[in-house]
Amino acid sequence: MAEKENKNGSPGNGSPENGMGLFDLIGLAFVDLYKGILVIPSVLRSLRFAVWVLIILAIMGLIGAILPQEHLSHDLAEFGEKYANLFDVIPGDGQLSTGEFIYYGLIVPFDLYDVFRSGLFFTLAVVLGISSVLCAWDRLKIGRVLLSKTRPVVSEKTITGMSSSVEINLDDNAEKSAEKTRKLLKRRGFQIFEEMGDSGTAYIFTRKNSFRHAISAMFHFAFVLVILGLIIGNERVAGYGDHMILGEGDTKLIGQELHRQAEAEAAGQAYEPNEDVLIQLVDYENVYREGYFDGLDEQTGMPIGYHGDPSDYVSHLRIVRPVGDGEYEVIKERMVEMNKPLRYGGVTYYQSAYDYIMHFTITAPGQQPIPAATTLGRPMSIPSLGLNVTVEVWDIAGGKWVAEDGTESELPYVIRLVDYSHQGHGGGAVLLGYITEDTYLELDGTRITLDSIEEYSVIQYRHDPSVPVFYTGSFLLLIGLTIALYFPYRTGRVMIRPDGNKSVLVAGGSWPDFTEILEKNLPGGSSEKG
Amino acid sequence: MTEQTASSLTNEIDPLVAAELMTLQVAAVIFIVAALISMLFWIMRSRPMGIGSYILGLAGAISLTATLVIRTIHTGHVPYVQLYETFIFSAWACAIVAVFADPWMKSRLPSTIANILSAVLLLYVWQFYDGPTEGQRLRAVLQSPWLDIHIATAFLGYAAFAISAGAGIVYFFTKNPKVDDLSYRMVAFGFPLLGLCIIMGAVWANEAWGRYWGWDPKETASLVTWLIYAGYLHARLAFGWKGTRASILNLVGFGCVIFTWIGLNIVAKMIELETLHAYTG
Repeated sequence: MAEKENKNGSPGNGSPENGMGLFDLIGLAFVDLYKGILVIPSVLRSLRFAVWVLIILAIMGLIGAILPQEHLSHDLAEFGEKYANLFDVIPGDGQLSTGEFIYYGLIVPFDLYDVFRSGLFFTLAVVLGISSVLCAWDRLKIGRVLLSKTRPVVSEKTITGMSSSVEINLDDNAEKSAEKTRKLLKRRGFQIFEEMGDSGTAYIFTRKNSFRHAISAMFHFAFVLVILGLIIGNERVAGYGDHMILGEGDTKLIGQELHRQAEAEAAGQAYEPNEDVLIQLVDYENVYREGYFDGLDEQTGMPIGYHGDPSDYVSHLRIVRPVGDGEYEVIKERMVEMNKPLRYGGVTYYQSAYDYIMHFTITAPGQQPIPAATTLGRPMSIPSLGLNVTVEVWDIAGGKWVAEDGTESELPYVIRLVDYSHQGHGGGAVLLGYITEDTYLELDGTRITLDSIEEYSVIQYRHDPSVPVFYTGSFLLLIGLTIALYFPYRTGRVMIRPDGNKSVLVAGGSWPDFTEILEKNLPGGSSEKG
Repeated sequence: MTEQTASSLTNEIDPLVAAELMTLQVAAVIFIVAALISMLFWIMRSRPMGIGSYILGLAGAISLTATLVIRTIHTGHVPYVQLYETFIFSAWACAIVAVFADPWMKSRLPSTIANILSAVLLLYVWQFYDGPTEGQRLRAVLQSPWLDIHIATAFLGYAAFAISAGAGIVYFFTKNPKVDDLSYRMVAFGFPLLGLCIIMGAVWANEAWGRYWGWDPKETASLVTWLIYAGYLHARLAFGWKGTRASILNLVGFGCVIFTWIGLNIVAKMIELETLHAYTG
């Protein structure tokens, strides 16, 4: 409408001073908006648009791969340490450094510190999904047209317009040459569509792997399934998960009940159990296998070697139903290790970590013994010595030792107490000594006895209904990609015209090999490439 | 190299370690000679030289296969955990891909690029050799059959991308459309392999870590690489991008491959980035 007015010489630039009222303006805005909305489907089904979205997602992904991803406070005073170092942020200095400018100008507005959970990333993924569906649908339509009875035109012009073309003088007459060409192409798996011209000229349109368009559509739909899987599995949509800490002999709520309990608490409602089954940790064990370590340490008798981790972490888990008097009926049982999870009721339980609570008695000279407890890597205070000692992970064993010949034996717990208080202040870590269960370590008259060790297994649980969707999408995507890329759609056009007793073949193909096939396999004289 | 490992190399060397080192050295020499002959082939256009470089590449691949088999027996796992092992495996993957690509493409360019790459990798691999690591075994999380297929597909895909990138560079100088086509076909070969690697990794992650996708930096970098090559294929097939523009995009993709393989580990160490894929030494 505005265009028309301008063409008619009206000055209207849309301002009320030029004779347009407010309602006219609103009307025009709606017209423009409507036109804009009409454009959206064509933009979405444009492959170019999809590729741009793909590139933006790739750039965001690259940033997400490089930048530590954690939800940070926008307040400089609570700024994450890694980001502070990375962007040279000095809280409270009142100056804006280049790093701070990048952070506040780029990282914060686009949520790049938490890219994969940002609204922008989610929106772009959805847009890419929609765009892929539309593009795939269009591919399917193109495929249907190609497979229809209407054949593309074969002429000298369309032949020479193809990516490679050739003209070959053949010794046989046109009829015989056409027959040989047909046989050759059929042998190579081509479909042939032929028309004869008035002057005895044969026009052949040929194609190979025409199923490729349907396959192309299929794997684009499959890609959408993959994206859909990622969306469904998101904890904001249908997935859930957390971890549970189980001590040996502990019996706790199963994953789905823990989730229901958390949901009820969040909603301020009373939790009522849905299922009467529980999860139980019968035993947890670190397994050390000979061959995974250089050998046993002479001083401690513990395995040492390439790295200090055990060969396996094994939780003996049971799904049980209480039957009264502290007795349980076992419903499912499994030794859960890395790569060997337990599955029950749509929830999967994985071995995630382990921990110990170590109970000590500290006896200072002339004082009453005091109990103390700590976990791995945490400092423990020894008041009589004025020390905070740390229990080292590296030297704690305790578990099963499996020799090369398969014989098993129990390894004792040996822990190392280290004083880190001088580290970074002109001193280093000070090894205070080793201690095993039921033995003690004496430091300046203070006796530290290791009384007992409680073993804990950290089990991760997760419910993800998207797994079948994701796997189906991935499988179809791969199959489709492989077929489409290794068996590409090929077309060729051939025109064979009489030339006295001989004939001339003019051919063009959508890829260079097509003309080479004809040149090598048809007996003839000179050929001229286009 | 520590004093202990140096002495163990000279005095108490394990026959398996000796065999591993010997086959590796033989392979390195073969690939250096093959690379030189390959380059001479392109200068002199001598058919016997072309065939000779291909056969030498094949011999190098066989020698490296022996290295990998011996190391597998020695360490008890397929050797692609340490950086030293991944370099050997990469050289092997390049050579193997070229062995099949040459007849497929009817060109000596894939084997030329692969011979040069393998020679460079095997000259550089000694930087990461840390003595015979007898008894070195896999961490608990890596003890899975998925490891073999996940890593093998990744490196075969990377090898195809490397040859493609090499062809892309050659295209800049020659502007030969056949080289451009070869470059595309190698991407078309590597792209599903990288996809397979990512998906196998997702299946494995679902078994080991409880989720098939967790936006771990390595996972994300692999996905970004895959997306860039997806962009390349779309640009090529749908927009008709060929020649220089396509080659530039191809090289960007290969830059991502290098970043995913090595660069990310360096960045992760520099900025203390946490990744569940930090196994390589």
